[in-house]
Amino acid sequence: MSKHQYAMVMDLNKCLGCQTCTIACKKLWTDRDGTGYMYWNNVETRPGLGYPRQWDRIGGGWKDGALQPSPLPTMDDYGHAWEYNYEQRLYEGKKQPVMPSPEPKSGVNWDEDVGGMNEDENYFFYLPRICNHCTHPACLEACPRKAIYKREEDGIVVIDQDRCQGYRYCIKACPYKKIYFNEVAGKSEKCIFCYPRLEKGEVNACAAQCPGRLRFVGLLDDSESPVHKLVLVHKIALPLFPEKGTQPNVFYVPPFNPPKRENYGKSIQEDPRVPLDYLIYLFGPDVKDVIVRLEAELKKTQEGGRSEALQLLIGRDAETRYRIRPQLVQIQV
Amino acid sequence: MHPDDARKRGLQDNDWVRIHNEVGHCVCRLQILPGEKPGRVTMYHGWEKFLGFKEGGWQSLTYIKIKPTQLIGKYGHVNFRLNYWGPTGNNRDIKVDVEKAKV
Repeated sequence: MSKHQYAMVMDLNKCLGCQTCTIACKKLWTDRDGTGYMYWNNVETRPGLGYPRQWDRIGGGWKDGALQPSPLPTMDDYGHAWEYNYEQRLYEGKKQPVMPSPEPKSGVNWDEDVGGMNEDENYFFYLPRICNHCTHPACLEACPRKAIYKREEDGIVVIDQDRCQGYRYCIKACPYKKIYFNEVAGKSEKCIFCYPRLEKGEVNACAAQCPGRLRFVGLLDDSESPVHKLVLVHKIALPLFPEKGTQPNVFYVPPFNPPKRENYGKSIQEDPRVPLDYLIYLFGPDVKDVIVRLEAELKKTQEGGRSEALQLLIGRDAETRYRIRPQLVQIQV
Repeated sequence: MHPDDARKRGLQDNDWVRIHNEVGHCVCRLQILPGEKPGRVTMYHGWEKFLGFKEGGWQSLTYIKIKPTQLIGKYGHVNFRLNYWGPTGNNRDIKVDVEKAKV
C-alpha cells in the first residue's frame, strides 16, 4: 500500500464527448515514434465496442486471488493510426481527394454515438477512460521483470522504461486494457497520471483542458480534497468494473438523466433513460444506491434547499475541482 | 442513415455510397446510426472539398439562392460568388436518394 493515493472522479453527466482530453494527453505524451495508435486517455461511446474493441469482455483482472489473463488485443482492435496524403494533394498537385491509409475499417470510438440500438428508445453516453492506477494492480503482479511499480508517495502506477522488456504480460492482465505496446521502442507504456505536472502543483493535462469541467483530482486520503468528498463522504462516485478486483482509483458519477417521459413527480428509477441493468454491468450493484442518493440531492435543491454534493459536482472553479498539494506527498529524506 | 433504411438498400456501415438528386451527386462513406430519423440522412457540413469524398463535395446536392441585393455590383461584401459563405447561405434540406457506389 502506498502512503497516499491520487484519484480522479469523472462526472459522466457532464461529458460531451469532445475528445479534448484525448488530444491534450496525446499532444503531451504520445506523439513519439510508435505511439500513433495509443491513447492513454480515450473517450468511448457506451454502450459500444470501446477501445480496444470489446476490452470489457475479453478478461483480465483478478478472480479468487488469481490473475485472469486475456488474449492480446490486435492492431485491428485498437484501430490503426491513419496517415493522410495531404502533401500530395496540397503541394504536389495530385488531383484525387485526400484519403487515409491504411483503409479505415476500425478505429478509436469507431461506433461514436451509435449507442444502444433499441428501436426508437435509443440511449448512449460517453465514458472517458484513463489508467485507473489501481490499489491492487493486476499489471504489476503480472510483470516478470518487476518493471511496474506503484509510487510509494502518491500511489501512481508507472512502468520503469529501463526494466521493461516488452513481454506484454501486463497488457493481458489489465482488465481495462490501458497499457499499450510501443513497437518502435519495444516497451510497454501507459498513463502516468501526469505525475511530472502534479509534482509541480499543476493538475493533469486531461483535467486542465476539459471544457465540460467534469474531472476532479485530489488525494483520496485528504479529507479536504473533492475526490475524497465525492467518493467517501457523499458516496456518489463508483469505480468501473469493481468485480475485476483491482480496486481502481478513478471513479465515475453515473449518468442520472431525468425520467424519459415525464419530468416532474416521477422517479428516475421508474422510467430510466439509461437502463439500470447496463449501469449495473459497468459500475456494479452499488449504482442503484448512488442514483437514489443523487435523486434525493436533486430533490433537495428543487425544493429550494442547498446540496453540498451537487454544488461540488458543478465545480465552478479550479479550486473546487482540484486539490494538488505536492508538499503533502513529498518523500521524507 | 437509420439501420432500416440501410437494410432496404443493402448498405453496410462504412460503405462507399453515392448520394444523388436532380442537383448533383457525391460519393462518400456511410455511417449507420440508430438515432437517425428513418427516411432521413444527415451530413455534417464543413468538409474540405478534397477530404473524405471520392466525388463531389458536401454542397454538391444543394443549390444556392441568389439574393437580389448581391447583384448590385462590386460593393463591399455584397456580391455574388458560387459557394461563397456569404449573407445567404445555401439550402440545407433537400431530397436525395442513396445507393451503393461503384468504386
